[in-house]
Amino acid sequence: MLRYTQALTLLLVLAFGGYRAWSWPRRVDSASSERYDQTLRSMLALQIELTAELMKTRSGLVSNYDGLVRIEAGLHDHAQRAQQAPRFLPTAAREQLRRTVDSLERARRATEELIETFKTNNAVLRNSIRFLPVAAAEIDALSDANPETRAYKQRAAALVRDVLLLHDWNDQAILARVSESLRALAAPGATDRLPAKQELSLVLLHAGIVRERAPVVDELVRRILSEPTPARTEALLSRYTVLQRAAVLRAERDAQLLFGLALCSVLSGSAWIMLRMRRTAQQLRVASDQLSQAVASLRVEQEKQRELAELKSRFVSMTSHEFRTPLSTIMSSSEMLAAYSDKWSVEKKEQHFQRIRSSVQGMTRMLDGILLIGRSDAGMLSFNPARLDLGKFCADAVESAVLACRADHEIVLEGPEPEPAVIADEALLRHMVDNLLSNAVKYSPRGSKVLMKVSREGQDVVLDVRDQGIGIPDADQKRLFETFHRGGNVGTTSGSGLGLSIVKRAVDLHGGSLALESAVGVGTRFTIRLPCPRSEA
Amino acid sequence: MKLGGLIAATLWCAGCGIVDAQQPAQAASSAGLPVGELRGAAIVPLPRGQQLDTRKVAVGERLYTDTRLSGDGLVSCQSCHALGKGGANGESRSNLPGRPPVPVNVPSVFNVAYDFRYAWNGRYERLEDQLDFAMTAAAAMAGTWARAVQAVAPDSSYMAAFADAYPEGLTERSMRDALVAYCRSLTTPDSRFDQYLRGEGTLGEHEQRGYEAFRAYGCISCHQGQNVGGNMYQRFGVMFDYFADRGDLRPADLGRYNATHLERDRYMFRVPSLRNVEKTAPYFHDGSAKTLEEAVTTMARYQLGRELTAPQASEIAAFLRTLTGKYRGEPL
Ligand code: HEC
Ligand code: HEC
Repeated sequence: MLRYTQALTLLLVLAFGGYRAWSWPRRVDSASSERYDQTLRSMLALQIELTAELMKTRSGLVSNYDGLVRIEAGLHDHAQRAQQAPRFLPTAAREQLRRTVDSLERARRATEELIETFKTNNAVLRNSIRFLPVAAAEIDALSDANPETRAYKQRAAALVRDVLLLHDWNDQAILARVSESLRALAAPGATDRLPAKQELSLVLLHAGIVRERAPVVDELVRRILSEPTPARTEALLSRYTVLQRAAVLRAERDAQLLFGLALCSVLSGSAWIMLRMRRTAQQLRVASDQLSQAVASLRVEQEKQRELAELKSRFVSMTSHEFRTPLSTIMSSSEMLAAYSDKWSVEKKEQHFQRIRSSVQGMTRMLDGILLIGRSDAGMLSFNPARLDLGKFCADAVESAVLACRADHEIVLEGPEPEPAVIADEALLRHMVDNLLSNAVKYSPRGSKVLMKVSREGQDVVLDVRDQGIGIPDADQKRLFETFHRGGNVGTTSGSGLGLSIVKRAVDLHGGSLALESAVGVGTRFTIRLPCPRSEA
Repeated sequence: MKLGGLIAATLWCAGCGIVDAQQPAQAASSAGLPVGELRGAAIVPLPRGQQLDTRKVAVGERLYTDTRLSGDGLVSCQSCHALGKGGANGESRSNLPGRPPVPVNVPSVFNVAYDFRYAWNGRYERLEDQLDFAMTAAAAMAGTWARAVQAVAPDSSYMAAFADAYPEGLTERSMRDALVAYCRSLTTPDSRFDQYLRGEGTLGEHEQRGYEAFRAYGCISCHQGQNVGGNMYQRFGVMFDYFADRGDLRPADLGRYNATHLERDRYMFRVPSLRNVEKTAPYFHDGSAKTLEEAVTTMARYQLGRELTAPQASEIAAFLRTLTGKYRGEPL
C-alpha cells in the first residue's frame, strides 16, 4: 500500500514538473505586460500631445519647435519599444501585434516627414504674418503728397489687410483678391517712382509668402491631424489587452487541467490524499470563479475602451472650438495693436487689451479645469479639512462672482446664520461654489436673479444655488456630471463641460451629496449637502 | 476616467515643456497655470546639468583625442573638432595628412546633444550614424570600428576602463557608444544670453539692440529653441537664390536632396545652432562667410529679403557673441 502511494506521489511530482517545464515560457509575466501596456499608453498620450503642440505652433502661441522635436523623438522611442511584444504571448499573437506595430511605424514615419515639412513652412509663414502689421504701419507712414503714391499706398494697405485676413484660410475669395493685388503691385515699373522702395518690396515678398504657404501649411496640418494614428494605437492597445487576457485565461485553464489530473490521481489514491481533495475542489471553484471574473473584466475593459473613445471625441470637439475662438481673438487684437497702436486712442487700445486678457483668462480657466479633473483622476486631489469661517467664505465667493459677471446679474446670498468656524475643505468648497455660481450666471438671462442660500441642518451645511435660467433638459440630467458633457440646449454659450464634473468630484471627496432640480425655461436648482462639524476651538 | 488624467498630463507637459516623471507631486501642486512664459518664448536657456554615465564619457574623452582610432594612426576627432576652436577647425575645409579635404565646412561638436538631426543637411537621425560616417570617410578617420578596436585593444588601461563602463567590455559597439556619450556631454550652458534669459545678467545696449533686431527681422523664426537652431530644416535661400548668386554649384550644395532625392529638399539644410557661433568662423556649409558680420548680412539678404547696413549687422553679431557658453564651467 505504502509503495502504491509513493508511486503515485512520484507520478504527481513528475506530472507537475512536466507541466511547469512545458508552460514555463507562457506564464504571464505581469511586469513585462505592464511595461508593454505602459509603452502603448504613453504612445497614445504623445500622439494627443502632438495634436496640441501642432495647433500651438500653427497659431503662433508657441514660437519654438523644441516641443515638436521632443514629441517626435518620444514617439520614435516608443515605436521601437512597441516592436518587442512581451514574450509570454504565443508566437501567433506576437506576430499579429508585430504586423500592427509595423504598419503603425510606417504611418509614424510618413507623419514625421509631414511634420518636418510643416515646421519648415510654418516658421517662414509665421514670420511673414508677424511682419505684415509692422509693414502696414510703415506703408501708412509714407507721404501722401503725390497721387500715384497715394493710390499705391491704398492698394498695398488693402493687400496687407487681406493677407492678414487670410487667417481664415478657406476663403477662396480673399485668396483670389490677394493674388490679384500681388500681381498688380508687383507689375514691372509699378514702384519705380515711389519712395521707400525697399519697404514696399519687402511687403510684397512677405505677402507672397503668406499667399503661397498658408494653404500649404493648412493642408499639412489637415493631413497630419487626419492620420488615424491615435485611433490605430488605441486599436493596438485593445488588441493587446484581448491577447493578454487570452493568455491569462489559457494559463488559468492549464492550471485547472492540472487540478483535474491531480484530482484523478488523488481519487484513486489513499485516504491521506482524500483529505486534501476537499481543498483542491475548493481551489478548483476559486479557479473557475477567477475564470468567470476574467471574462467579466474583459468585457469591462472593452466597455472602458468604448467610453474612452467617446470621451476623446467630446474632448476634441470641445477644445477645437473653445481654443480656436479665444486664440483668434488674441491673434487679431494683438496684431491690430501692433499695427495701429500709435494711431489708436487709449480707450480703444484698452478695449483690445481687455479682449486679450479675458480670452487668456478664459483659456486659463479651462486649462485649470482640465488639470483639476486630471489631478482628481490621478488621486492627487485630496480632502484637507480645516477651520473655516463659513460666513466670510460665502460672502467672498459671492463677491467675486458679482465682479466676474460685471453686475449683469443680481446675485443674492442668504445665510448662513452666524456661527463659530466649521471644519471643511476651503479649496473644494470654492470649486463647488465658483462653478455653480458661474454656471448659474452663464446660463440665465441678463438681469435675472441668482440666489445662493446657505444653512445648517444638524452636522450638515446645505448650499443651495438657484437661477432663473434656461434649465437642463431631462435627458441630460443623468449625464450632466460626466466630463465634457454639456446640455443639449446650451446653444452658442461657450463652455467646456467641465464645471459640473468638478463640482461632483469635489462634493464626493468632501463626503457630501448633490441634488439637482431643473425645468427647461424655468430655472435650475443645485443643492449640496456637506457634513461640516462645528469647530471646537 | 483615465483620459482626464491623460489630457491633463499632456496639457501640463505641453504647457511647461518638461516631462519629468519623478516630480508629479510638485507638478500637481504648482499653483496657477504654467501657460509657459519661458516655453512660449522662442529661445530658452540650455539646461545646466545632464544625465550621462560619467564612466562612458571618460572613456569617450580618451578615444576622442586618440589618433590610433584612424586608419593610418595620424588623425583623431580632435584634428577636425578641436575643443579650443569652438569644436570645429577654424578653416573652411580641412587640411589633413594624406586625405582629401572634406566637402563641407567642419561644424562644431558642441551642443550636438540638442540637435534634432546631424550633419549640415541633417541626413543622420542618430549620432551613431554620424560617427559611423566620421570613422569610415576617407577625408576623416579613414578607418573602421573593427580596426580601431584592434588598435587600442593592447592598451590595458582602455580594457579596464571599458570593462568598468560596459558589461560587454571593449567592442565596436561600446567604442562608438562611448564616443557618442562624450559628444553628448559637450554642452555649453550659462552663456551670457542664457543668464540674461534667466534674469541673472544683463546685455549691453549694443547687444540688446542686436537681440531686438534678431527678433524683429525674423532670424528668430528659424534660429530658435534651446539650441538657437538645430530643430528644423530650411532652404538656404528662402527669398532669393543664394547659390545662383554665389555660383560654382557643388554636390554638397544640394543639401537634404542628397539624402532624400526629393525636389522639395533641394538646397534644404538643417538650421544650424548659433550657440558659440563667434568661435566657429568661417560660416555656412560652404565656409564662404569669413566673419560673423558677413554671415549675418548674407542671412538677412537671402533668408529674409533685407539689406542690412554695417551697423545693423554688427549689432546682431554683438548679440550672437553673447551666445558663447561655458564648457565645464570655463568660457569657450
Ligand atoms: C576630416 C575632419 C573630421 C574628422 C577627423 C572628424 N569629423 Fe566630425 N565632422 C566633420 C564634418 C565635415 C562634419 C559635417 C558632415 C556633413 O555635414 O556632411 C562632421 C560632423 C560631425 C558631427 C555632427 C555635427 C553636427 O552639427 O551635426 C559630429 C557629432 C562629429 N562630426 C563627431 C566626430 C567625431 C566623434 C569624430 C572622431 C571619431 C569626428 N567627428 C571626426 C569633419 C570631421
Ligand atoms: C529661413 C530660415 C532662416 C532664417 C530666417 C535665418 N537663418 Fe541663419 N541659417 C539658416 C540656415 C538653413 C543656415 C545654414 C546655411 C548653410 O547651409 O550654411 C543658417 C546659418 C546661419 C549662420 C551660420 C552658422 C554657422 O555655424 O555657419 C548664421 C551666423 C546665421 N544663420 C545667422 C542668422 C541671422 C543673424 C539671421 C537673421 C538676419 C538668420 N540667420 C536668419 C536659416 C535661417
